[in-house]
Amino acid sequence: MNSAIGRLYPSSKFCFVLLAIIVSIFTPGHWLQYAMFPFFLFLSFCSGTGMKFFKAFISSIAMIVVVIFLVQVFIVRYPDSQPIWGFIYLSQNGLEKSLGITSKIVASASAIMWYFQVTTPKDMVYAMERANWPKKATFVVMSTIQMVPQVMNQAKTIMDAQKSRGIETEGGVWIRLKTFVPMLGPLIFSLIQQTEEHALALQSRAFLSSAKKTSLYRLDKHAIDWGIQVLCLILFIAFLVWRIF
Amino acid sequence: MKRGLRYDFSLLALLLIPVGVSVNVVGYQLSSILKFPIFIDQIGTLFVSMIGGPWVGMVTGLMGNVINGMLNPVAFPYALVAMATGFVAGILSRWKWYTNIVGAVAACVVISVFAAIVKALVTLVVFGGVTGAGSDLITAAFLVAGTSLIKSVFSTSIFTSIASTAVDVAVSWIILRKLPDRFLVKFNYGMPYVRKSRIAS
Repeated sequence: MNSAIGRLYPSSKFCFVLLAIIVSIFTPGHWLQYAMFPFFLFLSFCSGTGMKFFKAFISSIAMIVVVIFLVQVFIVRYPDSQPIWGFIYLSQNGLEKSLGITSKIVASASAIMWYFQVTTPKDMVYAMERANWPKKATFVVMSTIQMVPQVMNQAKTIMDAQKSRGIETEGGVWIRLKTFVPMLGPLIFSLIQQTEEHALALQSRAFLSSAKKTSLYRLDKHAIDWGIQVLCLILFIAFLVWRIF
Repeated sequence: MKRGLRYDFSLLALLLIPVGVSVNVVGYQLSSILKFPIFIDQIGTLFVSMIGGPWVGMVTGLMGNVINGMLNPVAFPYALVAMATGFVAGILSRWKWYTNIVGAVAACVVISVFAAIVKALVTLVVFGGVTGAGSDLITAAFLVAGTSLIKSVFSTSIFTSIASTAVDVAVSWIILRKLPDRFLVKFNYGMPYVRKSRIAS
């Protein structure tokens, strides 16, 4: 996050990612889209998150790509399917279709993953505030991102407590289903109590005031940010011109 | 009490959105700890829709998938499913379906049908039918039996969606009926669930 790319203004990175996704969805063929993966991998290494990006990609996207290939090529039946063995068929149409689908998934997923790995939520919310998003929207985004890990810790405590009281987590489906209520019940009730306190705290700090907020945290747009945004716009127009005419 | 897009996002309702999202995450983890074949990950969305209404429920569904999508972008297109679930559940709360058990069961059917249709459309349009999840095995079984791709995806989606929505609605409904009245009255859609006997006295 502390690399030169990590310090760019969030919206310039966002423009770039959006452009990459639009281009990969509306360009025919699949080589450009597959090339997006090494490209974003390279960008990730430049921004110091290379290994993280690679691991996350392998664990989530690679699996889906392989499954789509297998199902489209060998199991879904097309007019040109050739039987090989039992229920397994081979189809040229299926191969082409799966290349089309997976290339787009690989390209868009790489772009989105890269964006969220090099941009901190803090910067994103700050940029949203500066761009005059409604205050309530930025608040919801920020508080959700902060709250999820806290609640997960709290849930772990409740789970340990209920286990020490002898809750059953193994056995038939019905027994396991019944565990949901004693696990989630106490969690939701304590969260609700916190919500009321939270509301009081926010009201006493003038959250509902319509005055403009100032921020201690600062993030400035530099010349390079403007450069990237203008370049993305030009490339986008060029792409439109190429696709339409 | 005025209801609608402009009035539903009160301060308390805003604070309920992160609660719903985190309950979704915990529910998801719990269902993998308990080794369920389906993912019970909409308890929070349903719970929030029941007392916060359709719009707040829809935002909860969206936020949950955006948070997941930051780690695994496959979750982004499925935000539509969570949003549909939250919206439909909220509309049903406006019609007071959750005040008795018959309504809750009917709500479960309606929500799962809507969720299943949206889910099947997303799976077909974005991923071409399979997504690498456990339910792909069912789709593959249908395909092997000679069903067409569209029919297989829709059938799989209906099966998984009915099973998971049943658990989601049941758990969130049980919790809804146990909420304290002084909390329920603060929400635009919480009033029908206040026990009548206590109002009279």
